Amino acid sequence: MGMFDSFNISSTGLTAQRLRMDVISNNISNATTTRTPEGGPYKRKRVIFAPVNIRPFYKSPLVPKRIDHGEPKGVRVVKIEDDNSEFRLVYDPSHPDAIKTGPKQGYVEMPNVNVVMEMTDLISASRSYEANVMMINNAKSMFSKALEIGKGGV
Amino acid sequence: MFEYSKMMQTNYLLEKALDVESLRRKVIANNIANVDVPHFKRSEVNFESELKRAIAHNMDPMKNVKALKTDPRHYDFFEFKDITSVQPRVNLDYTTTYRNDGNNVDVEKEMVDAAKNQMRYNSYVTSLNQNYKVLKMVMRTV
Repeated sequence: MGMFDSFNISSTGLTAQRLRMDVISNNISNATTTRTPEGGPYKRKRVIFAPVNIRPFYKSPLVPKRIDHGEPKGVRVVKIEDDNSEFRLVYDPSHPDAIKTGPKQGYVEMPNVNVVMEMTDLISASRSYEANVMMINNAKSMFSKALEIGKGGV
Repeated sequence: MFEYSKMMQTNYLLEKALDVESLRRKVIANNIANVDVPHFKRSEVNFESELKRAIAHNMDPMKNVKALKTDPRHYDFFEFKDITSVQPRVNLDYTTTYRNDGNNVDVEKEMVDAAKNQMRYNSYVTSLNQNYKVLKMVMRTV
């Protein structure tokens, strides 16, 4: 248990939320991308978070009350995952990526990105980021207070 | 010399309380960092209530009844609880759910807890300083 562990924990939160914001910006900027190296339209990406110590251990198999995650260590990003939900279909026969044959002829497959949803996610990420920043600032003022121990006048 | 005096016991408790507050800070920071993790459950630190229980236990006149021991293997009725042996405990709040994704971190509550934690920390530092000041005063006047 070190002195600056709370800083490290909050900074894992900052890193994770920052990455989430990056991924959301990427989603928004690719909201109308119909051509990707993998073929097909852009697939929405999302980040998967998990606590750093993910495996809880039981101090006793009979008493689940003593379930323990061990030392708190913060959050980490497990992976960035593709969202495989349905693509949006937009009728636009003049589009170069429009479907040429079949029942969907003339339609363009647009990415499954919902801009409104991305914006709300962005706000949520930025609020969480702020919460972590506040924790760091408070911890800083706490530690500078701790430096005053034993300093009081003669 | 005065390690076992009441004053040093106060000092010890304040030190301990500062340790507990920094542990609590860590736990709150962890809760806030994991606010967007599905199925994460928050934890909290439990120290003051344990300490209170230990003090109440020692203060209770009913618990001060001495047993007549005629053999070294005899027990006392009640054991004296040393308040310096009280340890903080991190409890996982695994029974509640706050959101649809199974997470139970309430950011507002955590923020209030963080503010409380900070103020408590500051007050402990202030009273530790006060304690040292008194000690210094005693040493100077004699």
